[in-house]
Amino acid sequence: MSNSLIEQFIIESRDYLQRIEEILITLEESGEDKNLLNELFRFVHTLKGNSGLFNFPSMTKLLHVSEDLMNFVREGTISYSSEIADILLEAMDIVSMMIDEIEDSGLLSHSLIQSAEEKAKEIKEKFLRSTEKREPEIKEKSEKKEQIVEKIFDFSIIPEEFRMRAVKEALEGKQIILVLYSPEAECFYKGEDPLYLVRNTPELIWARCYLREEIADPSLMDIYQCITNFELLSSASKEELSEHFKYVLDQVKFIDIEYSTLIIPEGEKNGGPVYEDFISDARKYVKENNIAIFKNATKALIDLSSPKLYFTSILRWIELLIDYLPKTKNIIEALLQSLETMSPPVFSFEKEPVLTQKKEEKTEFPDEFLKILNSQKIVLEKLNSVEDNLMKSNILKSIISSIENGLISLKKPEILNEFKKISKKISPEDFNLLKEWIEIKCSFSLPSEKTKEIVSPEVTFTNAEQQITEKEVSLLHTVSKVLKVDEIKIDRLMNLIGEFVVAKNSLSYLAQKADNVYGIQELSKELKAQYSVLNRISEEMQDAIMQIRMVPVSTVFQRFPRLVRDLSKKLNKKVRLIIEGEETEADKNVIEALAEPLIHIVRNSLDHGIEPPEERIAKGKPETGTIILKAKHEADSVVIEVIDDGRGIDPKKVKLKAYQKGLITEEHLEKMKDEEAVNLIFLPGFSTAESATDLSGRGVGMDVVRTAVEKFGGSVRVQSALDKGTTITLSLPLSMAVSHVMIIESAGEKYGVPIESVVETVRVSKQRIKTVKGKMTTVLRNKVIPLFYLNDLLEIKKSQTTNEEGEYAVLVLSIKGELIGIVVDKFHGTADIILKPFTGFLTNMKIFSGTAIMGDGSVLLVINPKELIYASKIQK
Amino acid sequence: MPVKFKNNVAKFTDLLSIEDAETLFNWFIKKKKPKIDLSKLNHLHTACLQLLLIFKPKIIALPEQKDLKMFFNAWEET
Repeated sequence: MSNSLIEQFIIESRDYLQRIEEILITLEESGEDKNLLNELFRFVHTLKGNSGLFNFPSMTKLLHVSEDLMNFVREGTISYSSEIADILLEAMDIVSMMIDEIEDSGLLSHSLIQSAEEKAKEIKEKFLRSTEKREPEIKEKSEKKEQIVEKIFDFSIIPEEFRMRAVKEALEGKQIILVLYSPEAECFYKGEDPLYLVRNTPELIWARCYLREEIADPSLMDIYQCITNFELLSSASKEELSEHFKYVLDQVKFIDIEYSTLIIPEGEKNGGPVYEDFISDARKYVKENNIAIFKNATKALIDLSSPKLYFTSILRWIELLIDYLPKTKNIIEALLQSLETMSPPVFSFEKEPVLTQKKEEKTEFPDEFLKILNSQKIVLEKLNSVEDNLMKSNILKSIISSIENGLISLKKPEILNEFKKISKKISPEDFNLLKEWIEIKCSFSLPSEKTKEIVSPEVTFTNAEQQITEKEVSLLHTVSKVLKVDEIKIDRLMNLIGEFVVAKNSLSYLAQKADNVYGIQELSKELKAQYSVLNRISEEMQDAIMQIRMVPVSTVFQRFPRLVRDLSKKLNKKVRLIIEGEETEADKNVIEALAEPLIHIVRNSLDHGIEPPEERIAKGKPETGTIILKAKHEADSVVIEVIDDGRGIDPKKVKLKAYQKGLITEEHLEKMKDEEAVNLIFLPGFSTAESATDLSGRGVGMDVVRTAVEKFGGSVRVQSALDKGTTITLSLPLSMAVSHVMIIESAGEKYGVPIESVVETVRVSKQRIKTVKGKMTTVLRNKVIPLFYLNDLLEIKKSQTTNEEGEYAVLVLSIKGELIGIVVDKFHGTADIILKPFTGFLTNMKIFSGTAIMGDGSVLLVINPKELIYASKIQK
Repeated sequence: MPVKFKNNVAKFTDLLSIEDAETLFNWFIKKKKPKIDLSKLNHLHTACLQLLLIFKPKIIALPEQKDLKMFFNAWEET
């Protein structure tokens, strides 16, 4: 199995699962919608079909029962309820987990397989059983019929080699199925080619074709009417076969075959030696389990005897069965007995013939003829719309002749005569008589049970139409202009562009060199011109790649309807989720980084924010709470807001809690403003919930949110009004691929500092630096700011230099809301860089967030200010 | 043309579609002792197969394709 195939499967399956989940939830909210149900069914069906390509039977099985259930819902047998939604969502979750496992290891764990099996069983027992009730009757009937067919079907028409193949497969554990396929007469008009379908049957062992009608005069026949039937043997499962014949299911019959029925020795019974010794020896070998010798003896005897003899045929069967001893012991014994008596073998467990007289009770006409009648009736009905009289009379002729032919082959002269009389009176203007005759014959010969079948061609016709439209729709779905590309490939392109930019920048250095060192001005000019062209292209390329990496926030938002639905159910709260601006785009990494913090926030809103319905009513609020997920662009960042109309955050409570937990001092408690207090929820270890639920409230939530957002250079804010609601705002850079840095110099080396943390750059004279308890400080706009030498922080044993006026260059940074001054040697302006994180042994150097290559080929170390200060604190 | 007629023999090659059924039908009507060569046949539409079942021409060469050959094997025997 090719890896790319399975990769494709994984990608597609995730998409399908996502859509399935969405539809399941929409259905629950907006009630049954035929189109949605159809779409849902199609997705599950496709998913099931795809899973069948690989060897994950438990997944296919689970999807299969889900599909069945959805089909019942679609047909209206079962009405959609939140119970069904729950179970289907759970089933899809299992499938989703399976996909994850397949992606990780290519295999499914036993526990997951088991839970899939259990879920499939649960669906079956809860929902499918009740609908099956009406099926057993039909099944019973068809079973009886099958037994008759089994008796009627003469397996000896199948050549021995194919029967042997089938028996072999059966003994390997497969179920052999006999398929009787009787294509409808009009099938050619529908573009069907039954032979093609038959030839492509999965695990086809044997097939044959025959005419189901006698053609008295071939020259009069309608060559576009299918009168050919097919019979085939296959070792594929019934599901596979149903899938294969899905468009003609009403025209096929599947019959499970007991393999012993295929063991029919054949050939000349007279002549040839009878080796009595062999029979007794054989019994001995079987008894002693002496397989190898038994096999050799049989083989030797086969070689000696004429292949046309009955005796040899038995030997051939025995030879095949030896390999599957001991389970074939009884059959071999029966064959040996048959060898003694020269009469057909009797297998002890063969089913007794049942209900052969049932056939007599049957209708006046056999099914085949009724089908003919029925199809002619349909043609007749359509004849009204034909205007050309010549054409009409031709069609009538063909109808009459096919019915006549049918009657001739049925050997019913009295009906034939009756029909001939009627047919003489028929003209293109008036063919009602014929119509009536057919109708009478059809209804007369049909007991109630059969009426269903008589209308079936019509029904299948519409079904087929529906299937075609379904097909078309699914085709439309697949022919989208979206190209799915592995992220790694984009990243590679991104890296290449990065290198390209660096290479391009070297051109300007080269131009300078040509002028300054070699003194060739002309060349320098041309190089510069070329550089500008390359520069433009590279910028556009970079932009284009950025665009590729952009994904809409909906990829994250789409999981929330489900989350909110499940949680609100669990909490017994009524919540409405509104999503706004889901088309807002941002870099894929940013979007992915958003997912986890958002889940925490929404959970918190649900758990702590939204009140239970009673409480809401008491407060005079609408019973159903609202959570709004909003995304928008703001300058260079994407802003996500989670707004709820719940109870809000009580600043007093928060302050008290923080104090109790020792997170703030008593002084803080007194002085802290309400707006500030609200932000205390971001402190590690903070939780106001009285008890931790399994949703949130373990005191890790908001802290995790802040850490995650800050890791990606974003920020998080909270605003809240008591009893009115809370708004949490996440702000993240649009793209993390290009970073904007301020370049500074210290001890002769250049460093980059992310521009987000730079507040300002100032010059501070030596005199203004005061040392307080061994720590350097300065006063900047009436605020005391701690100062650090960058060389100290980086452990470089050099002192910082000042400019001619004796002033230090100080970079004022904002770290976690606090201002800090870093003394450096020089400022160099800003630059856009492509930041590459450290790999390997350098990963632990947290004070640098990574490196970037500058245009002149030099490497720029990019400082992580937070870690820099943190590291310095630890040192001290 | 996937069918080539030569005297009483029709040689089928590659793929016979439903469009070929009529030509084949007309040929069978005319010929008293039709013979067919299926050695180079890959697939034939059921409508054409049906004509072979009806007119029972003598098969002078079976298809090389095994799964297709099977259909004619069975028919020869019956």
